[in-house]
Amino acid sequence: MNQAAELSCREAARLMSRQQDAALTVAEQEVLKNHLYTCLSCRRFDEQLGFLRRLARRYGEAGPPIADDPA
Amino acid sequence: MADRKNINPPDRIAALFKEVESHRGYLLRFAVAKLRDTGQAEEVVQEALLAALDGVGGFSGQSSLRTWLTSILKFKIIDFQRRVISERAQFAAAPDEDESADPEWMERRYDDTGHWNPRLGEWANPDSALEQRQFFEVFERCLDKLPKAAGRVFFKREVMGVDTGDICKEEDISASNCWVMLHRARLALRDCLDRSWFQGGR
Repeated sequence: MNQAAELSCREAARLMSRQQDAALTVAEQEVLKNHLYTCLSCRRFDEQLGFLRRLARRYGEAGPPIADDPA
Repeated sequence: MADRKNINPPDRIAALFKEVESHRGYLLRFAVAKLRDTGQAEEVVQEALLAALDGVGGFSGQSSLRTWLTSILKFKIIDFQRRVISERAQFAAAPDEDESADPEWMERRYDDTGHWNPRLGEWANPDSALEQRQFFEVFERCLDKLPKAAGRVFFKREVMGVDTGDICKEEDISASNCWVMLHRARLALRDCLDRSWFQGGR
């Protein structure tokens, strides 16, 4: 990465997304951590990415809860 | 639990039929992600559901019904692909016609300095949404709004849990292209769920 330690949300979002699929370099982890420390929106984005993953896995495994539970 | 499993009165079978049918939408999306073609996907899902209903006694209840149906569908897809290759290779997957749909939207998500605009709202207790059927309906509608290729890549990565390396090969795209598509899909889904559910859409 050639940008300065200051990361924009656009770049941070790309890194957070890529982190879902591959390991980031130490330098990338470092700038991302610094950005998240000061940016509430990006911390939310990171959490929401994690939730999207749980949602998608649930969707592919059990699926939604059954409408009228007989129990 | 154990004695319930051994009794198969007709009304239990009927309920199971109805439940099997309720997974059709998911199975169709799964098949579209693999085959790209909606018509072919419908055909193969129909075959899988018929086979499932035929062999419903083979469902042990050890995995979820969805997982069991998906495993049947996977066999049917492989079977179908073999037939397509041998009999009708001329009906190759149709190209994606919507790839150019507004390539700029992601840039508009940020202001001139690259910060979120608008900022991201909080999702209060999102995991409780996983217990609500309507939330999954919203999720499916959001999935269907994605550009086709991005939707397919997202489905393979997040729903099927395929490695990005394998997805790149299947889709014949570069790793960086794959990441761009995944990121677009995640951001679009995030915004769609935000609009349609978490910020008062419910």
